[in-house]
Amino acid sequence: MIFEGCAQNAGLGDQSLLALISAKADRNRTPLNVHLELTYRCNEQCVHCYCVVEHGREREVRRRELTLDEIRHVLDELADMGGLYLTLSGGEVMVRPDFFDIAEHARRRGFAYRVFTNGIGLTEAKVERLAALEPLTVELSIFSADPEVHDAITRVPGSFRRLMAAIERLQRHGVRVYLKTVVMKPNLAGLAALDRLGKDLGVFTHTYSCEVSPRIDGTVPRDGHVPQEYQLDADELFQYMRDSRWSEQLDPQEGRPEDVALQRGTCGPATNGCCIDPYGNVYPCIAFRVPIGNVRQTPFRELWTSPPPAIRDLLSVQRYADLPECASCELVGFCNRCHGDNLLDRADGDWKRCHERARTVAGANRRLYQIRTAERS
Amino acid sequence: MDWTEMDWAEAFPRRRSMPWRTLDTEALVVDVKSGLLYPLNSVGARIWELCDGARSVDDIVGVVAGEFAAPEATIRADTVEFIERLADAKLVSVERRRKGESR
Repeated sequence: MIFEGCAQNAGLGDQSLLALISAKADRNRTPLNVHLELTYRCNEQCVHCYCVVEHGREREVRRRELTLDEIRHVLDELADMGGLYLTLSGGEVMVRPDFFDIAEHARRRGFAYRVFTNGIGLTEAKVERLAALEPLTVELSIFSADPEVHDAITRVPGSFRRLMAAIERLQRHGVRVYLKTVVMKPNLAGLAALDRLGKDLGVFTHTYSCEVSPRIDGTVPRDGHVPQEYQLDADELFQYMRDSRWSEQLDPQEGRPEDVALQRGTCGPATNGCCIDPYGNVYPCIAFRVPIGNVRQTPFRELWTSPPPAIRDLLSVQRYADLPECASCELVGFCNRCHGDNLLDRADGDWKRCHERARTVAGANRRLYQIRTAERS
Repeated sequence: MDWTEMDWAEAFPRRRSMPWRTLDTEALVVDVKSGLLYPLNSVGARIWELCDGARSVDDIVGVVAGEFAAPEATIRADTVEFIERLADAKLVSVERRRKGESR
């Protein structure tokens, strides 16, 4: 689904029309959804973060970041090629002093843009300015209703309090607020309270994810703890699924694995969208970190229309049947594997093989589905 | 100087800062204020493109009739209905102008 998280179908055209447009965007490889990472610098240091540079290296990485003119140029190219949804992400986008110039250009070029931020730098003046630039949503991470737990994850004392102030300001200025929570070992116990808090705040939506991605640069943080250490194990994952509304979103495909694998589509990085990192590297998506090229050396259109062999290989995988180990897996109907996370997780780099983490999640999905089905009958 | 009804025409400018793209022959329009997405079929997409604030219904019908194979009366009725729906959804506004007057 290419429009997930972006905007709701208004119903002027029917669902089949949206499916037709979606299929055409896929077939024509229109870069409809672009995830633009403006910086990996951040004023928080979340324990599970996959990309942020550790404090002390900011000056070094800042010099390598795309300039405002370079970003404007790539946005112009993307707009001309059909790019519509744009995510401005980081790191923390607000650490860039030219953030508002970037947002203004995105708006001028007709993007429906979302802003990912931790909120702690959103002063009244910044919120006012942001609201005037009409983002589609502002999306903020929240880890707990308990300030101590939240601050321990961000490793910034007072970050919870500042986040709450930002949410209040954004809503007062009419900005659509979207909360996101990564469910991990440190915050698993307090999710009911967090859910209540989201409802009390009256935010537009609040979503949960259980997936923690490895660091994209493969580094081990100074404290020696990699993000995966915070990920739920199989028992915790099942406990979370069972106790939450997870089962409401279960929509498995049942049947012989070989038949399901032929029908079930995998996610399609580089099909209708891409990720551009702060240094101009273009990737198929946020997770799949095999570069298509760099916009500093080659115009985006040329990169996009003439991808290297590794990306053509990725584009050739469209169904689970295209993946040897998935083609007959008994869990295929419950699996939502991410090729990129598999690539980051695997030492051998063979992303087409089984993604062990996805298999764990698929197993828990099947177990939960069987329990819910038995309860209903 | 007195103006009669014949001297006036309505124009339908798209609301400012409404992100949209034509994809092949269809279009997607995003209403940032409401968070709603409007997929438009090829005729709807063409009418949307023509809602530039300068063209009247007659102008739009004339262009669409030249590009799509249907009786002009059908095209006129569909165009009027579609523009009304766009206006109801506040995707376009309705501006009354004297004929020959530019924006």
